Amino acid sequence: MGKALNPDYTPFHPKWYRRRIPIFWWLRKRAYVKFIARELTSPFAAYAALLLLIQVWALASGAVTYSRFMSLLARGPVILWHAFVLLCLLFHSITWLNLAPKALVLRLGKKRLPDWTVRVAHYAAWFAVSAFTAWILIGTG
Amino acid sequence: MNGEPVLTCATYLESVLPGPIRVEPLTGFPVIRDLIGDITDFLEKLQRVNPWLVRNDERDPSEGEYLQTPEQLAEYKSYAMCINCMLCYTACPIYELEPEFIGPAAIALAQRYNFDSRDEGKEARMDVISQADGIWACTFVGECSTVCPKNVDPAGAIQRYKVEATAQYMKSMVMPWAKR
Repeated sequence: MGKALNPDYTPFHPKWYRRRIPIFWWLRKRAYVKFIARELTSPFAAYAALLLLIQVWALASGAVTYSRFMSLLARGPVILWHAFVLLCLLFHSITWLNLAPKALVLRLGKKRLPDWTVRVAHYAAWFAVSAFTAWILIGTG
Repeated sequence: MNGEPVLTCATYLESVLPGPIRVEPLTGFPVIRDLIGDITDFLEKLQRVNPWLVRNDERDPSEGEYLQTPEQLAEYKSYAMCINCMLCYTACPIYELEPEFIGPAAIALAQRYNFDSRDEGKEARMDVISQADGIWACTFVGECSTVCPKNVDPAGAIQRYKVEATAQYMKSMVMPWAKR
């Protein structure tokens, strides 16, 4: 798109030098490593959401299905795997929630609220939703 | 300098001593020679986002100035501090990997005019910036804001644009008859 709009754009100019980008460019800086880690942990968020949906489905399917599903989750390798998923999920969620004030501006009348209010609001919503989900799964399970 | 995007004119030698000191041209731009990079691409992109006040109806000078309150000034002032130093482009790995990306400074400057109460060119800018090579190419690495010597926060400008573009798209889906 950009290249078509810009006839002067010369990505492979025959005379001018363009440095080659190494595959491991993201190892150049700590901030880049953190960014890549945040990106790579996103599938775990999708996995956790899917797992939760399956758990709710098992709960709705009756006591036998639910207890069978829970016994599957209680197996050693599955617990280890989910401990790893939890770490990835926490890293992903915390790094994202900390970035929320960049995208969202809250106002009270004409006054712009400080960034920490956006962060606190997101964390509060996260904990509220987590507590509600835990109450459904533990309280009613 | 030493792999960090900094203003060499604002860096004291004692801060990088004992050396050796490595000075390189701007990353992401083709090098013409030595430390001279070709920034034609940025200049073209900057023009594309209309970084000036757009008015649908110019007021007659006899009617006086376009007045602003301190709150209205504060809305865009931080974005107006950009000095086009290109450090944000150098820090952005996405611009290096995908040079068609409009880039942090151009988008931040577009926001500078969008947030200006005197401006009426927001829609035209949105048409340019909400493309795939605009805000959606940004993956929010955030280094553009970290290295900015004037605390402009281009990463924040881009994310706010994304929220607004999404809200506008949703609105057009729910209420296709509504004016943008």
